[in-house]
Amino acid sequence: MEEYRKKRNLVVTLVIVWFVLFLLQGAGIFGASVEPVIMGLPFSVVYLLIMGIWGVVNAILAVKLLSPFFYAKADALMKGNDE
Amino acid sequence: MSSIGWLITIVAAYILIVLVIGYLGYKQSKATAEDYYMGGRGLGTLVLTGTSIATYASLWTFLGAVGGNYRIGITFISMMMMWNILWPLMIWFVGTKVWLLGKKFKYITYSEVVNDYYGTKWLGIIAAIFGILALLPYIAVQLMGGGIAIETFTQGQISFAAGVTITFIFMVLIISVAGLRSVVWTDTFQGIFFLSVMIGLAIYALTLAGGTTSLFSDLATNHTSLLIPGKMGVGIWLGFVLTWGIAILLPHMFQRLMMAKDPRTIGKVTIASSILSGWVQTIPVFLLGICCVVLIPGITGKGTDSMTVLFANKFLSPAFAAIVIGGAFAAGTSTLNSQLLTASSLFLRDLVVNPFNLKLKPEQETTIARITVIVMGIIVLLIALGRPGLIVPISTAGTAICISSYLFPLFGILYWKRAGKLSAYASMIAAGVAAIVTWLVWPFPLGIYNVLWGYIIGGVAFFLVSLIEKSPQTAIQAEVASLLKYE
Repeated sequence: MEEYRKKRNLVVTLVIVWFVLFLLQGAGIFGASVEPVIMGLPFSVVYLLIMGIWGVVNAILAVKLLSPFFYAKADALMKGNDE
Repeated sequence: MSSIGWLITIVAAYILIVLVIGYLGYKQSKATAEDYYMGGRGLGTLVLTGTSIATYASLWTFLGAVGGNYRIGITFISMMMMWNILWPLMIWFVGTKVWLLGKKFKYITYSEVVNDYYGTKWLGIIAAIFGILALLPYIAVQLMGGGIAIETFTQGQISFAAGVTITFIFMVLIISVAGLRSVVWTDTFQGIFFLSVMIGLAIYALTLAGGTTSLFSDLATNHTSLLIPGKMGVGIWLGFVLTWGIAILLPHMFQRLMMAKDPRTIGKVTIASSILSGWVQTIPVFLLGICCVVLIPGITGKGTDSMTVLFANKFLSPAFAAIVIGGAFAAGTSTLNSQLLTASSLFLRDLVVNPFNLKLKPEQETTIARITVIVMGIIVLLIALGRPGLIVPISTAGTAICISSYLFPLFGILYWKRAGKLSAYASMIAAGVAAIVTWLVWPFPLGIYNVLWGYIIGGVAFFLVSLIEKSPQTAIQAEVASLLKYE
């Protein structure tokens, strides 16, 4: 249970930080400027793309770190159903 | 061949393909409610990802979201990308637990889950009513989108009303005969088709606009506001994110949480959906919208909902433009079919069979389900023919009512053991009423979207009442707590 909680808290923290930084862009407070231009893209677009990559990384981490606990529970349930 | 000739050819070919796929699914189906509504709980990664993405991304994406990016640029895409990554995350955090519940107790609808856990009858009835109220305008939006696409493409030679009716007839044919198995198989085909069309359109539009450097340089010089976020109040922006980001609570998405054949499918669907929804769906929509600012300037208001079709008409040959209409059809019908089927299950199981404890034979239930689909479809057709407002706000506000009312009772089952039936009733009714009032009576007070008002008022009601009422001790609640506790 302790190991599960640590991993869950790590994932939740990453998601919350991601959410807040994305919200700050949505509110026009952070990542909201056109300058500097990076590889032909305005900074606001680059920031958006970084948030997009981070979001997918969050999904991958959530599955990789927490799946053993869910799969163990689910496999036991399915075995019980079969019996 | 004329535009109408190509339209008829492409749409007829598309309908034929979908009907064939649908028929193959029908041949595999059994005459049971679990098979008709849930595909026997046996969906693999490809089909479950396909149906989730295709169901989630509707004509809203194909037409409304392109229009949104056209109007407010990065303000729109930032919230769209956020919610398109958030809902796959919710599949993992919420969907895994709902899957366990579905596997253990054989639930088909959200109402069955809450009724069983809280020992209620009326909670499920209220949930079903809110669910149907949310789904009907959303379904109407899909029909409207079909009508808009056909009318715009044919420059009015086929009217909006005729386009809506054509879409309706086609959809009811598939769903009423075949049920969920056909829905998910056709969804997968439709999802691949409309994503491919959208990617193709975006690449072509970007080429016409001179490439990314030229496009963004033009926008930075002439339309700077499109590249600076914050053009929507944060209360509205966040409201959209927390509506569509938690859209797995919508009845048709909630049912999909219980359809995976095994737990590992859910993990793969989570990751695949975050990439397909967050990137493959979102970026082309953004690019097409902002390219159109340069290529087709000066469109405003409801006209922007037709942006995709206007682009196709202006820059594509009639044959390719008809394929775009086919893509619009695919986007809309893949959502509409799931929603209509789910609305039918809500009505039949949650408002008729379960409350009155009817014992129907499986064949009887599926026959009545088919009739319900047709009747509800007619109601939705009449709504769509009225052609209310912009696509995005209508479907979002209606969705908000359902999601805000469903959230806390489910939260209580998954995470807050203090909650009992009173908390669930209080939060569902308070949230639903708040979301309705702050949309229709006193629209978005203090610049805060109705879903946020639903969450705030529903949440306050939920936690306050849970602190007052006695902690529940029923056998089913203990069983659920044990089931959802990870070692």
